[in-house]
Amino acid sequence: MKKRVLLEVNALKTTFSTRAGPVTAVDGVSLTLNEGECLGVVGESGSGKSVTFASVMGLVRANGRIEEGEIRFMGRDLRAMSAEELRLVRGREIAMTMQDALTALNPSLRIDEQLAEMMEAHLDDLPVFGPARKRAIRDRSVEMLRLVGIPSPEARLQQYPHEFSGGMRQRIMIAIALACRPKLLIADEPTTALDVTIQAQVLDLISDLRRELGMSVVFITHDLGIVAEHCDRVMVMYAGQVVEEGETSEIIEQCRHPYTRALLASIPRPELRGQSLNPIPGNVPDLRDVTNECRFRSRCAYAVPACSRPVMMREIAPGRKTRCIRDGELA
Amino acid sequence: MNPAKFFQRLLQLAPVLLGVSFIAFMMLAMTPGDPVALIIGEHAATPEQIETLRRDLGLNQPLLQRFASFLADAVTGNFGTSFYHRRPVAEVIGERLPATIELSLVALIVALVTSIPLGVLAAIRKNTIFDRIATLFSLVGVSMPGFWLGILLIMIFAVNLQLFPVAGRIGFSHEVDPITGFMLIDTLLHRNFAAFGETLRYIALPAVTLGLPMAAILMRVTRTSMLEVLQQDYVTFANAKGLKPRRIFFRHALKNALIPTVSVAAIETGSLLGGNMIVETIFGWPGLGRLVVESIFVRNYPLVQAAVLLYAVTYVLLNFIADILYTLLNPRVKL
Ligand SMILES: Nc1ncnc2c1ncn2[C@@H]1O[C@H](COP(=O)(O)OP(=O)(O)OP(=O)(O)O)[C@@H](O)[C@H]1O
Ligand code: SF4
Ligand SMILES: [Mg+2]
Repeated sequence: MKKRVLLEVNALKTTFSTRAGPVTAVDGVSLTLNEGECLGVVGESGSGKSVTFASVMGLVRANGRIEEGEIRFMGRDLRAMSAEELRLVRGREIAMTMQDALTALNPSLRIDEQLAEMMEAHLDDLPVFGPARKRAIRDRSVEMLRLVGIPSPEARLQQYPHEFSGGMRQRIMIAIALACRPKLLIADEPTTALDVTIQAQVLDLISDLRRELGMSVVFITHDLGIVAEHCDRVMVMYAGQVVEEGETSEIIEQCRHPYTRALLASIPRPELRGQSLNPIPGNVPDLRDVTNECRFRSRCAYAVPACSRPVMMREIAPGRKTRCIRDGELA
Repeated sequence: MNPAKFFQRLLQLAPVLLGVSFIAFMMLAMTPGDPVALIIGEHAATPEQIETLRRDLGLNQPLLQRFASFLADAVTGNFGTSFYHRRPVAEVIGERLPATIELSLVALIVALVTSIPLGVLAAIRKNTIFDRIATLFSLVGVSMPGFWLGILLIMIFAVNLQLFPVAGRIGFSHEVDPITGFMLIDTLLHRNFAAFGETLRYIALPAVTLGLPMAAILMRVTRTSMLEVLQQDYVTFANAKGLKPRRIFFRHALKNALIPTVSVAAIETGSLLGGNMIVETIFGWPGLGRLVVESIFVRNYPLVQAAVLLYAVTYVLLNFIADILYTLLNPRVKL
């Protein structure tokens, strides 16, 4: 049976106006996400991962604008929605955790309120009035905190964000995001700034919940190791574009783009302990002066003169795409 | 805040008050002009009479001894006798204090109700015409001298348009027996609504004169902090949660944006004290500020000394209140 498409993005283009001129942070990104699937989005810092999904949520910062593209969620055009319609999708159907849990929780509100307001905004199966409603919300809040593994949730609900450790805050943010049982969770770097043990706990937690609640997950991360362990499919981004896409196992075992290869080579491997990392030489190009040529060309070990012509995303097998003219030689 | 910390704060007050009193004392002593001569005035007086008066006023003692005995008395709550009124200083000040407090509070309200909405709007409409005009207004408000603004308002609204009275606290046609000393409250307690309206008309111009510079500062503070808060991740996250815009605005953005505004307002209320002297003099407002100005002119040392002490205490207390408010609004900070 073919899986149903949950999220579909077509030729998305998001531009920021800055003092130094317009910056197209997302340039023609397309993606498809099926129900129940987990998609990993990888790429170096500044490659446009966060902006892509902020665009999906309609939460691009004030100086930015979606210029083109189509965003469909369960067949509905999110860009055509009114503010109120979109508000009802956010949080209830598509939830998001932010890159930095330290700043994403409001420092002056207690955790119980930050959880409760989410349910107040969306859940209509709560009792309508009074103490019964309060109790229902409280019970669910306790349940959510327990779900993400916060000890003694009843007491901790009364506390402010600063009274929790970094890992705890990350979990609280996840608890809030999951409070209305969304169909899609966008987890933006859910594990940066966490130590390795807690990192694993948080990731396992999201994977467990995914199986339990049957939701789809987008993992945004720098870390291909995380992707290998948790994601069905991978999308590699570079300088505002998708450069490679496919099943996780295919990408890891037979990548078809030099950038992906370089990323894979930069993963520290346990068996190579003691050796230095292999960071990719050179820098991400300045998005203000990208030209029509392949954007990875200045750093690419395989570059040939033909790479200065526009390079398109190409389907090389069903569900498998790359943006490199020499992909065949990489296989 | 725990009691130990509280007393620690109170103890910190002592050196401040001592220093302020001493400086005020020395400045008064060094100001040319002899209070005895000013009291006796043009009346012919024998050197003996002058000497007696000088002794009565305690002015024959050495400077430091005078300061010491002022301090000793002040600690027991005795601020001496006003040269000019021949009555206890505390009593004279007590009579004038309500008028000043009332004026300051109304000025504070004027400042808050104009600055907060304007600051928030300027932030939301950043870089629009509205924002520019509001910025201009606050620049003018901060830099305009208080006496100039007062005279300007009198010229326009009292003299030309005759919308408000020129000076005073209430017209002669209204008799209001003092209960609290606050006219706006007393007239209401007497259910004398005509007098209440009249009082409002009298207080309007001085309160605006006093409150406007503060409004200008608070507007800038509110605008800046609102802009900063709107950039915060927690506002984006609140949007990602699909909360209603009204809730995001009031509960997430405004609540945090007002933290600096509130503490600056408490501190700035202290600076209203200085403004009071000018504004009360221009508007013939029968408050402490005018009394102090008059007392300086006639070298009424005990009254000025006591007033300076009162100002200092108020100023420090307001800073203290600012700290407490900041803590209450900001759970991350513990006093
Ligand atoms: N508000 C903004 N104004 C101007 N430029 C922006 C803004 N937000 C993002 N950008 C630019 O868009 C590009 C992509 O940013 P994005 O945050 O999506 O990167 P990312 O892939 O998520 O990186 P990271 O791994 O560091 O989170 C960057 O070059 C960034 O400078
Ligand atoms: S198109 Fe050319 S420059 Fe670009 S990644 Fe492929 S080989 Fe490298
Ligand atoms: Mg990011």
